[in-house]
Amino acid sequence: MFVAARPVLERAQLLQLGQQILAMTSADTVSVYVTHTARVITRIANNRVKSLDDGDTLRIEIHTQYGGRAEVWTSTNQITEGTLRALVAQCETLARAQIGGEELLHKRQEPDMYVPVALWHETTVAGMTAARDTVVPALIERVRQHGLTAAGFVGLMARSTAVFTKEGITAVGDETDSEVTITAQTPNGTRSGWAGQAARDWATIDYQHVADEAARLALTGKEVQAIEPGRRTAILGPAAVVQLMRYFAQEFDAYGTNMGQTGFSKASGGNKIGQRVFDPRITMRSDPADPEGGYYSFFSQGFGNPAMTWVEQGVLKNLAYSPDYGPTQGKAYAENPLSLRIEGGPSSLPDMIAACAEGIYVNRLADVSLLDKGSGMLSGVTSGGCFLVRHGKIDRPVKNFRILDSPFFLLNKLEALGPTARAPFGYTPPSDVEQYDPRYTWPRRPMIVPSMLVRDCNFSSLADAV
Amino acid sequence: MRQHPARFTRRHVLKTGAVALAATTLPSRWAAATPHGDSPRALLPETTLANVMGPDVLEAALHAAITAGATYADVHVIHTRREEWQYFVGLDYPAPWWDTTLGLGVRALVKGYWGFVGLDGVVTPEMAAAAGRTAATQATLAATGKPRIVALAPTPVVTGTWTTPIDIDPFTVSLEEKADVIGALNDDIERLSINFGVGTLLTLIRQDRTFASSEGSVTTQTLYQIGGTVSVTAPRDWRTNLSGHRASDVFTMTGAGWEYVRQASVAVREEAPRLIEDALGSRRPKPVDVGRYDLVFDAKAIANILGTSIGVATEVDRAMGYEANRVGTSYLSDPLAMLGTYTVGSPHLTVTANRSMPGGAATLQWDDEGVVPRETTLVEHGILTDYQTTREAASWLAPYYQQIGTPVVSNGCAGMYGATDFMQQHSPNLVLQPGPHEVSFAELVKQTKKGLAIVGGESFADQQVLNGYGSGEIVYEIVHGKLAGTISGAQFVYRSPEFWKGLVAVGGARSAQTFGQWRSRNGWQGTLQSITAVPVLITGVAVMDMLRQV
Repeated sequence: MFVAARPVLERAQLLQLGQQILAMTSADTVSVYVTHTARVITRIANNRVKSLDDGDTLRIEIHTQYGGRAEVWTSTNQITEGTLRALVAQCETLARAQIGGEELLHKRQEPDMYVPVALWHETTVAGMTAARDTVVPALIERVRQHGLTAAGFVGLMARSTAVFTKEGITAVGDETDSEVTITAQTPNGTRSGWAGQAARDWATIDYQHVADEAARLALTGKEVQAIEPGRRTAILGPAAVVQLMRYFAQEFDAYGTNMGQTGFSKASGGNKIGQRVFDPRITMRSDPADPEGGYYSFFSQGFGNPAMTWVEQGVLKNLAYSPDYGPTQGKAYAENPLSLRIEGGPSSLPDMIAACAEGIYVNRLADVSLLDKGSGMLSGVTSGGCFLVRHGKIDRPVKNFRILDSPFFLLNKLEALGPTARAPFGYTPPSDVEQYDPRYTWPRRPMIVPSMLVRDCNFSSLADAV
Repeated sequence: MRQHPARFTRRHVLKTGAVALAATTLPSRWAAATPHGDSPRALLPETTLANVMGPDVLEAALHAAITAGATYADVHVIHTRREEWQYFVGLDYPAPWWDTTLGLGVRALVKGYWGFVGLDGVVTPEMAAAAGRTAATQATLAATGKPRIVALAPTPVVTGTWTTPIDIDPFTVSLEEKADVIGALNDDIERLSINFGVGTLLTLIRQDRTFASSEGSVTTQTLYQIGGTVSVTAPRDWRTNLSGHRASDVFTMTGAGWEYVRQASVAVREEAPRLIEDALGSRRPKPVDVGRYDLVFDAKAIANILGTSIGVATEVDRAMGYEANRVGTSYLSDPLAMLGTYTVGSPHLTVTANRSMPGGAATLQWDDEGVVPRETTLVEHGILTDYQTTREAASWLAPYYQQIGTPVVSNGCAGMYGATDFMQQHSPNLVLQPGPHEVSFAELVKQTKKGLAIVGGESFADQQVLNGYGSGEIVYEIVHGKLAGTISGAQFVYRSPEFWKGLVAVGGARSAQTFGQWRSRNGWQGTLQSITAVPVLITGVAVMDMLRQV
């Protein structure tokens, strides 16, 4: 369907739609959200194209509120005038019937906070029509040449998003994104390697390298051996680190933290702002204008998205106060950091291996679930490349482990940090907290993380899945 | 996120809101195609999806796909309505979230390669034709690789209409009644014990689905799913500072109409005193002693594990590596070698799959390939006997089916959540078959000298479904056949083959309970299945301490 130059609604079309819907409303406050996403996805399995999945998804949400009553929202994917009118009528009827709920808050929305971001890449749009025919066969061939079986994902997408409010806020943004991931399996099914790259600009993805990496990880060393679980030094590649940090946006939530529910809560009440929470080499930031990890400069009802430093040299600097909660605490608002950059360090992955007397190199973690928000305890399994490192060298591939640990512990047991990269997520099954939120489906907001060398990581049991 | 607790109660709504609610109109997808196109109109029962996206749209998509070279094509138009009510005591009047989506998806098969295009919203015949053409063209381009043989298992051409058997369409029930049922249920439970938190989540789903294939099948189905969760939270204990939590066993997701909510809310009231007692009693636990235990699982706990282990491992696309880079693979990885011989568990283990049981959340007449699902036995007395299949996947297993003299047909496990989600496997309803003797949870506890009893909870498995772990909502110690105190931090860790081989006793038919489970393979929306299970006793399971900190 992507013969047109632009696969998703343009700014002018979004503006027209927003005005059309706002004109239908009569509630005291109204916000309209429109998201239009076009995707071109190819899935590979058993050295062949498994499925092609193309299409577009339109989502229109209408939120209305009458003074002193709770906010109500309805949503649809239909754009016809009749449907929209009916949806607005439904939403306002429900909103008028509400009692209780929030007072009508005149929240500060600051369009002048919108910083220019460049999330749209024509190269990605061009790739949506062109890439499948060249990239996919090349990927399969490359893995096959290594004598391995490829499974993989090649996804490109374009999206436009807009927020309109009755108070006159208009925020419009667009973005593109892409990801290539490959699982290379040995013919006897005893080993696999996983690699990936993600970028807003399709042109920067080196898919041949992804195939080679996956193959290398599947072929390094000989027989897979089981070794004892226990606390061991771990070298975590970016694809492993990003899975550990998947749930971290919630930890920075100021309301939850002040209520004693996150790892940044103080036992005596309140939060740990100003305290050292991690190793001094850890700095975490979010910036909508980050060249690798950028995102929309507005969120929710058109609030400006500020650049934030959450942790600086191990000290907690800020928490994310929501636009509802911030004003009651005299704090500026910010969005929970779905996109995060963790500053890196000078040690490359080979350096870390060379510096490691004995440890486990973990390429990726799969099926990570959050066990306890308060301590950040996670459980996940190593996958797509897990090796014993001895005397500064990769010794042999080992059977996978289940890890039971928390970023709050691991980031305090840091030995070394490597260069940062936008980490590919690959497929991650949405957790309970994530499954109703489309922001957690592919593509997620970019996370920029380094590889890490940490000591005493808890490899709690063998998980001998391939 | 609500940070401003409300100051009013539901009763105010019923007084002040009634007039406003009476005037409610529902968004209508038909509006565009009716003469009064631009005016909102109430939902008319006699209106059908065909008024907006009728046979001409389906026909256009199929015709275009076949003309563009597809040897097979199918098309879906799916309209989903979803309404969610959340009610937590201490918060305000439940504000339903209301969603409606409509779309078309067309799938084309060219030289063994599938193409798929999904379009949102109202699709005209011209757009449908373009989508069909694109799906076939994309598949043609993909087919430049190694030729691939896709044999779709034969299925009779079907035409017809089917609706989930219901008494009351929940979308015709007034908002007042919905608010009243949820609010009154919460009030009644709250009244049973001071300071208890009660939370209710109610989800109503109606899907109108039209399917047509190039083989000539045309079906129209209206599927209803309804239910949710009711849970109680005990206040923190003054000594341990722990609260207790327990969710209802009788209020769950199911394939039914509004009558289910009416019946279940009565059952929850009967169950509530026990839930409260359980939650209160769980607040002074003993830390778990790490080790190997005999575990008695109640029906809900084992239903959960069944769903995340055998229920996933018998998905044939995973077993054949087609999901290796996505949801994962399966330890039952060599179907043709394993079927009929591989020991999945002890002889007490028999698991069947169906999409026909009354009230089942995955129940329907035709799956998304127009197949009438057949009931099948996945594991019989511990031996692997079948997988969950689609038409394509059934042909992969043809040598096995021929050997045992069973026709090579799909089990009817093809599914797509919405029209724009590409087709994949859909979990069927699962049944862990009861044992021949009427054994209850209490009797299994009585049989256990030293062990733990796992009540409710959740479980997870790795990408190969080989190693899993989980925990109970409440875990009790069993000492000499009796439930002693509760245990904290207990996390059972298992390897599937050993775990299911440790199954030494299963409950009787009267102890069977059914639970609706969300499956999130499709991403954030998820699909539903029902799992029927009986309490079980499994020996020698490793138990760890998940609360152990450094």
